Amino acid sequence: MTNKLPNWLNAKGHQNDIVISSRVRLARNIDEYMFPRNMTRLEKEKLLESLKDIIETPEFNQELGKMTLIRLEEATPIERQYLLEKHLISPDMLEKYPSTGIVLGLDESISILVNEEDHLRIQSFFSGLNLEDAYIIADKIDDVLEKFYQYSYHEQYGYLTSCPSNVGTGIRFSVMMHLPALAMNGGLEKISQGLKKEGFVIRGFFGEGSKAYGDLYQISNQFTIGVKETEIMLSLNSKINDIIELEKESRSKLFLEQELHIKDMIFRAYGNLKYALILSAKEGMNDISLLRLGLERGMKFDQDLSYQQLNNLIVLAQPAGLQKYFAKTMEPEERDGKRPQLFQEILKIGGNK
Amino acid sequence: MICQNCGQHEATICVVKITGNKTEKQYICQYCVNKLNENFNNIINPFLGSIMELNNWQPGGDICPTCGQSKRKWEETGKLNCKDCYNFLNISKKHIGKRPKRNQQELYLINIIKEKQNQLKKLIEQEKYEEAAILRDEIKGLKENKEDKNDK
Ligand SMILES: [Zn+2]
Ligand SMILES: [Zn+2]
Repeated sequence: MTNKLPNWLNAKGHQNDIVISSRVRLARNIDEYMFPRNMTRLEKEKLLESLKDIIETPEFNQELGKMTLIRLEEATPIERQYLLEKHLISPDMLEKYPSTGIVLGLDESISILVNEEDHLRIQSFFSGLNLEDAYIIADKIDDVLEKFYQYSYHEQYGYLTSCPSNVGTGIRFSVMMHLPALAMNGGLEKISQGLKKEGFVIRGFFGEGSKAYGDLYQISNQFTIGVKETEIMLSLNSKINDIIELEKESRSKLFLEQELHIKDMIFRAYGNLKYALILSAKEGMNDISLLRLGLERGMKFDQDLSYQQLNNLIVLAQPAGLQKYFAKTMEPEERDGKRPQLFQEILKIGGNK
Repeated sequence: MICQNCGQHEATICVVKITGNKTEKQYICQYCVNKLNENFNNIINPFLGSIMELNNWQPGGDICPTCGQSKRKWEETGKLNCKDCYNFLNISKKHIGKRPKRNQQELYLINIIKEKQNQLKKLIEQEKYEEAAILRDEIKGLKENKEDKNDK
């Protein structure tokens, strides 16, 4: 299995200063089987086998290029954890991995989960704000797979899914944003209520509710039936643009009113990462959030930083990411002692001479 | 009740076997029904050999005929076991997004087959076996027709 980082971290998309990534997920089920929760192991294996054959066909390759099937049972626990940290598989799959799999594209921007909650979950990731392209490619994968399978489809209910909360389009759009100023001034609370009224939810990327850290948030649609895919996409897109404006305003206000205080926090975060000997993932992510804010405001550090470096740390700072980076199995305590080196190497700011 | 064919899963369907003017009933599970449909012309089990059609058997009512899950269990867990569990739900909204492309051509045939299967079920309940046998062959023909289209 590869060590490389997924494409959605490359910081080359639109609105890259505030939006980290855009993703689309389509839930699909195949008519001849019951939903995965009620399938036998043999049936699940049969479905996995059929995908393995399909991705080798010229028909599939011409449209979608080379993709590889990874059976989660054959991966090591660290590899499975790493797939989770790259947001390619769900936390649920980490526990119920027997007879599940993921079909991965070369740059990991497209993937298909097999035998998760639904038979197939088509996923597409893009860096920055780019729901359109993410949707176009997911839709294309769906068209290709449809040539091989008879989907469960109901004239009134649309695509039938294992959980009725996904029925209809089976689509989930989500956008990952960096919102430090709105988190600081309490603006998120109001945004969250406004989004809810229009069928969208905002969640902390790391940790839930008040325990969220790193100032990264995911905004996604709640409803999947009675509205067209493109309508959901356009209305989420306009919500995201509103939030970008609000975050920018909040940042300007923050720097206008508390410039010395906020700059002090940002430089201290830089110093912390440069000289720390022990660093938890949480502390590291909070410092990265401040550095990103400084970068977005055009602040200069004694070493030039890029969004891509900061993005890569979002994945590499996690337990499996760290162990993959150093190609070494480590207990939590050992990881905290090794994490400063990771940050210093990635950001090229080694200070402990 | 445990499936009388495989003895492993909960039986959810009553199968009626017709030979001449004798009828027999057997309670079997969905897995065996699927196998049976797959092997329509290539029979695996002597008892199921001359099976003609299936009718749904609902022990306590409010049971999904396909997977055997009860409506109450669904209400407790919020999880559906199979696509037919959607009969427990009453969704007022209508899907207006994407639809499978190939379904549009096939849908017509599928609906006809479903309709005829319902008719067949009624005929068996009314014990009109001669008419049922004719309808069974008709359905078989339609199914083959559908398969041919899939191959092309
Ligand atoms: Zn059975
Ligand atoms: Zn069911």
